[in-house]
Amino acid sequence: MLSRRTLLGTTAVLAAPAIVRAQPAPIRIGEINSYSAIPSFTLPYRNGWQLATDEINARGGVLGRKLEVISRDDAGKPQDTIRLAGELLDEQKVDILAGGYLSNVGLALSDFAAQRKCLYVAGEPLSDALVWEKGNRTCFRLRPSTYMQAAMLVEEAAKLPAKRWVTVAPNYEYGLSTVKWFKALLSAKRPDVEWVGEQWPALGKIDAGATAAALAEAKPDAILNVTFGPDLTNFVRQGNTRGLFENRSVVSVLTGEPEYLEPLGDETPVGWIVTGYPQEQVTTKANQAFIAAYKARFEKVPGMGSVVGYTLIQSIAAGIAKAGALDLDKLVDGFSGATFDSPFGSAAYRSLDHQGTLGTFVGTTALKDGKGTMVDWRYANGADYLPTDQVVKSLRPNAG
Amino acid sequence: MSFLVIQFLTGLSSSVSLFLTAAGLTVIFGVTRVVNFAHGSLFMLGAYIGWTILTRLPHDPVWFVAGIAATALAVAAIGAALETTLLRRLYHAPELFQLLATFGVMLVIQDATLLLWGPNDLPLPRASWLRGFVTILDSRFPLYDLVLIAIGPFVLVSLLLLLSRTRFGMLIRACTENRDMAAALGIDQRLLSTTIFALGAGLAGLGGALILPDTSANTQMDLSVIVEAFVVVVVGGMGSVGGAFLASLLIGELQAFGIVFFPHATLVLIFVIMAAVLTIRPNGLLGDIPLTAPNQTTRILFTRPSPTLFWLGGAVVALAAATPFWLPPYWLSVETEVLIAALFASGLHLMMGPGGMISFGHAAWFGIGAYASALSLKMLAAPMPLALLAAPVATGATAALFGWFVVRLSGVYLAMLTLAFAQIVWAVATQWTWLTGGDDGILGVWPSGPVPFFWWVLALTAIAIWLLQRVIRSPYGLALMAARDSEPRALSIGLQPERLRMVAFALSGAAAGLSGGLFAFKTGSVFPTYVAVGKSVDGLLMVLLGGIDTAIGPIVGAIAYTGLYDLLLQTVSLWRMALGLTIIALVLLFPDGLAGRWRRS
Amino acid sequence: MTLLSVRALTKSFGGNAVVRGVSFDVAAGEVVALIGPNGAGKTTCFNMLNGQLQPDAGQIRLDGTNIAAWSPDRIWRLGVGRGFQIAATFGSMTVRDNVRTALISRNRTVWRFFRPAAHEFTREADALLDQVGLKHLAGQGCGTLAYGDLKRLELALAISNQPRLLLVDEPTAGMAPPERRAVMDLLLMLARNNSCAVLFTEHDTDAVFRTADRILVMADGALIAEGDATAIRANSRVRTAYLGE
Repeated sequence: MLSRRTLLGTTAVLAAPAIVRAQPAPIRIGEINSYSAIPSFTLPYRNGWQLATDEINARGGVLGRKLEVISRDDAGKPQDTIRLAGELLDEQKVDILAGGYLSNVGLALSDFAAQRKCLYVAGEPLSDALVWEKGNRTCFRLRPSTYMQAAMLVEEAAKLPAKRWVTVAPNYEYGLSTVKWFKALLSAKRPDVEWVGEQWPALGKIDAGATAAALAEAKPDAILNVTFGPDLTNFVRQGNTRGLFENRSVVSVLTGEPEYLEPLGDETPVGWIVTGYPQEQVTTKANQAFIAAYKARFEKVPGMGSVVGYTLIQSIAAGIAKAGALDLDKLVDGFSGATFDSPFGSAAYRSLDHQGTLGTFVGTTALKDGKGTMVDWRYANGADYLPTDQVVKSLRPNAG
Repeated sequence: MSFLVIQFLTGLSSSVSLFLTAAGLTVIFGVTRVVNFAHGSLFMLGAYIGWTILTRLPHDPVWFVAGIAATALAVAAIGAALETTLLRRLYHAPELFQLLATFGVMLVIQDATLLLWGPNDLPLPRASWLRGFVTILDSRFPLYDLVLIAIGPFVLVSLLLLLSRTRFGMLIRACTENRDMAAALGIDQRLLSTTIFALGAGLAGLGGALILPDTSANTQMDLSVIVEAFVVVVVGGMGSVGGAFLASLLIGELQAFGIVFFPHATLVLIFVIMAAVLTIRPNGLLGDIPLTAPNQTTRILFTRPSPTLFWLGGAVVALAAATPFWLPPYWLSVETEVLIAALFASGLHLMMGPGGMISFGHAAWFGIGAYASALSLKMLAAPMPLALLAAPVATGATAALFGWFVVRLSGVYLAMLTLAFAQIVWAVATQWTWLTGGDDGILGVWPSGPVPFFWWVLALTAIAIWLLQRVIRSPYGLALMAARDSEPRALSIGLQPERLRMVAFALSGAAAGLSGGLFAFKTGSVFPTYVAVGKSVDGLLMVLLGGIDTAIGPIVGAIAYTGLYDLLLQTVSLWRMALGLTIIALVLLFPDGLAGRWRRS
Repeated sequence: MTLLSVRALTKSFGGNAVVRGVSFDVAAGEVVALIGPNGAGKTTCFNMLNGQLQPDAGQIRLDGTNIAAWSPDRIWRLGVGRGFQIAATFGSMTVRDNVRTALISRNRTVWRFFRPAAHEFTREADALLDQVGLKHLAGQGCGTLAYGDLKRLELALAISNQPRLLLVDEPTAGMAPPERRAVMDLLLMLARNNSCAVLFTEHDTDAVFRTADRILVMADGALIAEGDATAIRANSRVRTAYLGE
């Protein structure tokens, strides 16, 4: 089966001379993600960007031209990402690159785009390096970084009486970086906090029973959890049965996102402090309109991935509109400071470090009708959880 | 004290599912000699089918047992179907072709699972009895884990009784110990193979279903379990059920206690243990069948250098050198990748074809080469030619050293040790962050421009492949093949097979290293994924698709495989299924490999 | 003149003594048969003589040098050729390349990586093949040969180093009687032409009594008798070992 995008692209080209001679060619966005490797996040994400693209085109597109997204699956391998990015640039002649889920894929794309002098907009990759240590002029990133997620959670964690903390995180860049920032920020706010243990299960291979027992052995008051996906389900079940979470505070990154919360079902632990997306509970007009449109088209409630995919395309449209042209310098200037709408409200790309100010929701987990949900949530605006401009400048040595 | 007891019990319980899966793999291997790459997929199907059945059943223990049993039977039926429709046709083909076919099956099942059950993780809602616990020395321990601890020995004893007390078991043992004799005695091997495949698949399905109360069914579980199951089977001794039990206990306990003492090194631990066990006991803990390399030496490898081929090759290189003038940039980049892949496959072929050694871990050398180049560029500021030189030098030296340790092993054990080494390299690349950059890799390894770089790649790969071809046809190449064909004879005409193989290891590693170095510049970056199992499998696929008995096979295989992969990845959303089906079709249609077929006709 | 002198050779596998204190001599140019019932330890002896097994104890002197526990390639270089019970040749190669490989090893050109092997020792290889009567099959694949021809090829490999001693395990096993005789005669002729001693095992007693200058008899890992055909026929211990009398 040919992918729908390619098919549409081909017919459009074939039909072009006869029918739409008068219309300008579409603006082409090359999108790459790990569709086959991480389907639970990337499929809702694909729905999200398809929805946004169609909405924008229905409004007449950008700069009088339609948007066309050409999408590729990198199977989770950064080396394939680079080759496909080359194909998108050289064969498909795309104007902008976008996408990515894993941090290393994002970093690889950013480096490639800088080399090829093309704009790259990262959606999901959370690595701080993307806008700081390895940040460069041609890369913008939408979602709150690991630093920002950690900062949002530390704000709540610091209010807890807990002194003895343990951490459990997948043993790769995302886990390492989140734990590093969380420790640093919390220790700064609460010098009395002690770090009494850490567990680093390999991604996708957690030995949950042993991990839970090892964490309990450290007799902590509170736990920072960074695991997600199947690892999280496994960890929560063992922790529940073994009583690990009883009388302890747990702070957990991303666990409130529907993609990760839903599999926990009626075993969702109550009272965890999490970042996430409370879906239909958010009654802002933007969010309700987004959910209605998404449901109408896909007959499902959108997940966090859907929000990211949708907002990614909205932000790209806004950036292009502000730039007014598609050459790289104009685009960089246009994206810097561009504001765009999202289901979470208005956000912008900072010109300082090209980080998006899109926020996320911070709340606690609860059980409702045998399903996990978020309560007592609030929207944490990304702009409020970044270091001072001075610090950011020092963290971002290589970029103009 | 209580913590140690709990941790010990946890280790026991987490070894059970692994044991069941590995036991299935080991009995299948023992009787059919098939290294079943799709075994992890059967495990995954066990989890998904188990989820489908159990979510529809009442939530009490009796129905749970019934559901699990039904799942095991269903997966056993799938296994039997797999054996009768596909593998049966391949028993006469070289043994590695079955591996190739099962790899294709794995790809197909990945996409089929996604189609049937969707992308989301599927957790089995736990009934209240599944959430129960007992208190042991003041600590809570899951009741279900105790059940698992009992299931392990129960299945072990049942299997051992089945093997020792029944006629079926007698036949299995006869086939495991001596296939030819069993055939000579008129044992119906077809029926036996089907039954044993069903049994093995059923065990994998059981293993997959039994983890449901702990973790959700997900699309990544096939790959993560297959590598561990291989480790267990090899450490235990291939074909030995008792060995699989011991090895899975060892690994379960190792992980339970390993995370306490080395929380950062969980990835590397089991592979270090595997390497240690195989170095001390080359046939595994309880293995007593010394396994030799699959014998595929019935056809002749031409030792005469063919002038036609030389001029043909020269013409191809000349034509290729002109491609930058007319080929669009993307296709030039594909061509560059094909060249790099051809070198990788040619190096692997030297080891597998003339050397007779299978490598499941050739990505190790590719990765070391890539890191060597990238690091000499980044840390020593070496210019590109020097950085490229560093790749084969570093890998050749490492491979020679590694080869010195492992050349006395043979067959699947050697292959497994190469896999262990590759996994260790992968873990180091992932976890030694200050040197390798961890998952984020090393970026900014760009050459001056794509066209001059293409000429570099063309020149280096053409020269290296030409040299490898010369090596195969040289006196050394002849001696290497002699050591493969008959070790006793080689010894008694004064050859030193171990030294010959060590050098083959080094040369093969150096070639893979150079291709890794080139690839680093091609992609502008290096990541731990270069060392992942998938990369090693790519190499195997290229060599086997091309045909192991011909010197140009790996080149044909590299072009076919890289082209196919690129094409499918771009155009077909179910690319894994398409690739898997293509591989299966190729295996069925071209059992001698693409180049082998061409040569015969 | 004594060429090979074996003293108190001993080997056991896992506590099971397979060869127990065997001592004998072979003179230069002599043809000696080592016989005995199955499991007597003959092949184990051979494997120790050419270095494929390490003896637990005892000496193996070749021309006065103790070669016990030397590696097979060093022993081969001293001039010991070997033939196996089941013909061991290089199945994926042509007949000529089999012999060529042996010559490459003899001339120490193994570690050449660039020069095509096809240019090495073709004439010498064909000359050797001529000696065993296989020249007309030189270009054939080894896998297509009849078993008798494989045995001949093996002999060509065994004499490629102009050995002083040939160890041949059951030269005629698995062949029809006329072929047996031909191979046996070829072995003797090669030995004579190369003035080389032969130590062989054989189940075909006719062949043994017809060809051997001297016969050694092993049973249960020990040497129980030694002498010419007449002496062995008359030996009561041999009769006991073979016939259970």
